[in-house]
Amino acid sequence: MRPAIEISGLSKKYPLVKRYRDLILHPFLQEKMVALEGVSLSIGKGELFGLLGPNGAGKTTLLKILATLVLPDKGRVMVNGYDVEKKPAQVRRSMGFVVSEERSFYWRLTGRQNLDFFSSLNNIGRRMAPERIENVLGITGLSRDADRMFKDYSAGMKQRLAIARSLLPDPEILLMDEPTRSLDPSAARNMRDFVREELVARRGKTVCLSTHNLHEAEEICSRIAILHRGKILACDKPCRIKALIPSDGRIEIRLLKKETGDIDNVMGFCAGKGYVKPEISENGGEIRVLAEPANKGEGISLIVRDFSAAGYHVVSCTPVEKTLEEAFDMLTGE
Amino acid sequence: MDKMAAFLKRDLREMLSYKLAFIGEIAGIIFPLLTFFFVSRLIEGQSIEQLVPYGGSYFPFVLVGIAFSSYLMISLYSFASIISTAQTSGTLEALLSTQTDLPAILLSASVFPFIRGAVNVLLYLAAGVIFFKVKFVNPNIAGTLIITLLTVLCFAGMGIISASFTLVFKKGDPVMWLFSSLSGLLGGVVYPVSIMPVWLQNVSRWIPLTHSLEGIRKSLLAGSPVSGISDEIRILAFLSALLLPLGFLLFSLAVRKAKKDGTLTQF
Repeated sequence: MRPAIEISGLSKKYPLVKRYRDLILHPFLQEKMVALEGVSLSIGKGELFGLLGPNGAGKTTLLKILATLVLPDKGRVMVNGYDVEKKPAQVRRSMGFVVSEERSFYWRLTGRQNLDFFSSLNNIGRRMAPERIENVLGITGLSRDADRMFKDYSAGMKQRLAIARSLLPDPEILLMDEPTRSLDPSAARNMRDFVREELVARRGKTVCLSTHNLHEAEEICSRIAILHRGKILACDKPCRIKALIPSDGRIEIRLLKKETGDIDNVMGFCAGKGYVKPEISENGGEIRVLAEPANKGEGISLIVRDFSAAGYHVVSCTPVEKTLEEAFDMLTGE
Repeated sequence: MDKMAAFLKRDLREMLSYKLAFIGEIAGIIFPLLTFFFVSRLIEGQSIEQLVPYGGSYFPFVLVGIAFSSYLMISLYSFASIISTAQTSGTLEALLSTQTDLPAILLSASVFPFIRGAVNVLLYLAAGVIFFKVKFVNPNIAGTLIITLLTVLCFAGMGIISASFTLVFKKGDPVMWLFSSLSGLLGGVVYPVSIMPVWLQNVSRWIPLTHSLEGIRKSLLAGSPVSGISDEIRILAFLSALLLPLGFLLFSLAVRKAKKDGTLTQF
């Protein structure tokens, strides 16, 4: 099956603004800043793909190239089988760019009036428009607030209206630039659920979103690309990216407290077995041990057997997973 | 047409939502007229040779000058203003993400300023007739409309060139500066071109507004037939045929450059 988005060897440099001195001394010299360098990736249909990176990594540039707002310098960018340089109109018909900037709406118009205006620009006929508008208002849960002025909307509602706007032409692909940026934690969680469950799982849209929130990317994206200084450092499922960094050999053992006794008892056992730097804490009815076995290659089953033989009730025993944040820091060197 | 109607509806709704600004715009028509009315009373009764081709009175001369030059300037300003307003308000990115391309957005968004400008011209003329007792004897309406249409096309060409500069350079557009300042000074808006030194009169012939106002005044104030304004029609038709295609060409180049530099939505 043809991918929804296919990028190969994409590079983009932006010309830097010249200083007055350079205008006189080097009038024909143009310094440039690298925004993207040799980016290649493929996003399948129905995928929820995350572009992860710090500010200035090139996420927005990449999304703008996909949305035909910026032209690439080198490389080939295909959206739904159309080249962004050669067939920009067809590209725009295939995708909706969720412009999260709240100033991109007309504040003194109602939500419905805003959608009415943008439906005309998306070639939705006058007869079809009211039904389509009602439909996207329903999808985004804004039906009851449609006739309020945009200026009276909350940040979450503004974000939802931006999604409603991009859904007007019913595109197959949605591009979202930091969709939860200005939302409070609860609204951000609702937005993530909405994107994952309503747009991707239920409606089968392909979503490519940019974020610098690692937890967000890990929580909802099926695959992520880590962008740093214009380059893709890794592109895979979040769990595989986390697996890129070697484990430090630590394990987490959870013991039932009732049959274990106090923390000192466990500490003594760990010291006797030669566990390195054990960290022991209580959590409700459990005792949690974080430690590195003396023999790093020691299998989980042996550890469980040792604890069980000493009379402890082992609830779970797992190797400590690296977080995406740690993987991100290691890959970006920050 | 749907897109023009959408922009028209949007702009009308926005304009009516700013009630004080709407009232202020109406007042803005009356105050300059009052100023020139008092100036005209100062020179009332004097026979001014340069005003004879336009009926001899100063106030009707200046009324037509102000009313039509303000309208024609809309053609010059509106395109660049549409771009810069959308850039600064933050709506340009959303507009460009739709299935309508930028030239179509530009043309559709310019409908409202032109209609508003036409209404302003009518209000100017109506205020002149009702409050200042100006009389138009045997006006050649057809001639006035032909000249106005040609001038709008010609100025729209310059306006689109000006919008191209705005897209690339954001501010400091030389086209706007050159034509608006020269047109105001040499185009014969508030005084006849014939009172200027001969060399300045020669310069003024290179300014489209000079021919526009000349043709409109001859039609409206002196009742000249179309044959009497044929020179003005020819010049304005030539300039329109030159400037409009040039405007569209430069605009498409400007859009490409702004997309290449990544500055399309910056200001």
